Amino acid sequence: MALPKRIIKETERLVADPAPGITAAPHEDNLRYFDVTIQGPDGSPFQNGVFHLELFLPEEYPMSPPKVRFLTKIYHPNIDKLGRICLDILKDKWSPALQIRTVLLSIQALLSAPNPDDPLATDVAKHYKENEKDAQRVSREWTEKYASQ
Amino acid sequence: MPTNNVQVLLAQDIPDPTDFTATNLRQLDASFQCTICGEFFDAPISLACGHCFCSLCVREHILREPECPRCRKSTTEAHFRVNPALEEAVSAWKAARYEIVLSPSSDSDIACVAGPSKPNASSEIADSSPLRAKSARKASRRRASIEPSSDPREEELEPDSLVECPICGRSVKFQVINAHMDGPDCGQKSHSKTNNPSNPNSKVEWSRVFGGESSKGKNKNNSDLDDPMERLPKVSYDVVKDKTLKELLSSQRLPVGGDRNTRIARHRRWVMMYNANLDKVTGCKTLSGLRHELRTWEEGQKGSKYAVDDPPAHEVSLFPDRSDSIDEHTLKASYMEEFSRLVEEMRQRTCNRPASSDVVRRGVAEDSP
Repeated sequence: MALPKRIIKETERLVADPAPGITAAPHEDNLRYFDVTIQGPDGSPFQNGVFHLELFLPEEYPMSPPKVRFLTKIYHPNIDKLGRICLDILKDKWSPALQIRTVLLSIQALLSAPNPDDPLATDVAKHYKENEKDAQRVSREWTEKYASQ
Repeated sequence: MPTNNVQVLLAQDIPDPTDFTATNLRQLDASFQCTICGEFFDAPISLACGHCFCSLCVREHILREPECPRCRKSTTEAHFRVNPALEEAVSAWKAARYEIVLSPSSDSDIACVAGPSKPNASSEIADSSPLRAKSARKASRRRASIEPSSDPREEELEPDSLVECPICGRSVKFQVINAHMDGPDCGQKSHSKTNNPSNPNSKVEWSRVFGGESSKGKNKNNSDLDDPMERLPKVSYDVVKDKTLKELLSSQRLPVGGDRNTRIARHRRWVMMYNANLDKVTGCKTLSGLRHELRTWEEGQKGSKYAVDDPPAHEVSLFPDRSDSIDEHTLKASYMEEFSRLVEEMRQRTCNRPASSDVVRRGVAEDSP
């Protein structure tokens, strides 16, 4: 199926004018598949980390949301071992007026503001709720171990 | 795979706010574009909250979620209001922007019409989008009025000599060109190119639809071809029997082939396209034009997961089984390379994995209370 013009436009803008701390590049052989990196936001336990993600635009995009997954290990209550992300706009709160760029910015914001009340990785969320300081220490360690360049 | 795939695609000439350097022009340009499809509004609709979208885009969206894509205020089809002022503004802007984009200085009109890159580029992609087709048509109409060779007023033309229709590009006898331009046959050029040989059976069926049309068009069915005024009601497909579904399709002169899901998808899309077309204040498409678009859409769906491998209609297909097996073979052949690459990748990944997950597990164990 031909690539919708919207996807071409979005790609053009992502490449030409990337959001701060975010890069997204389409695969040469599949323009619906993107290699993404997100820098850990300053002031968060993920600071100085560079996280790799994969993003896929399904056939129904923009009527259904992109599929996004962390490839880099991350200690975060809303991101599980497999890299799956618990974020409402990636599920039932998706709207076709959202874009790849807004999705990636939301993920970056999720790194700044973990939400242990709506957990995906229950053990991490428990850790965050019971002893936030210690949990953040682990997050920092993981960032250093897995997400440093 | 071509390595410069991305570059080729990104180099395509697609109207985009980034065509402008000035921020205020960028904003203006963006404000004329639908946030769902990213193209200029086509038959814009305002919702109760005031946000605007292409009629077809928002109709497709509310099938999934009955709310405004921008502000999430709940909405239904009853809230739709056509927006002729915006539609006019968009079509005026589409014409004006080319002149602004193409002219670095002031000699804009000539630069726009005679400039080699823009009008050609837009007519190249005209097939895929009605919006694009419209602007390309407009461009060619303007070119026609300037280039002396295609202007009938400047050349002595015999009534029998062929001239190119400025709207659809077909060759038509000079003496009937006016009747042709007003008639239903005009405006179908972009569709006639899209004869995709993807599925021979559905092609036969579709061509029967179109074949029947052209022969009947001259007799009595004029009411059907132009000026569709009544909106089509929505159908609850869950409670509609197969037989009724076929009747619904054939009452719209659409093919009835395919399985139930295909038929439902076809009819649902048709109702959306039909009603969205009525939201245009000017330039409504003819029904045959819409049918061509529906076919193009259906062919585009093949290969996506919705394209439930069209089991060909029994009256058309003679060897349904054989065609299936051919499909399988070609698929296997074409994906063999990809498949073996993936297998190889997985092997490497599983080799690397145990070590890293061990580290992780130890990490968790040490740190958990």
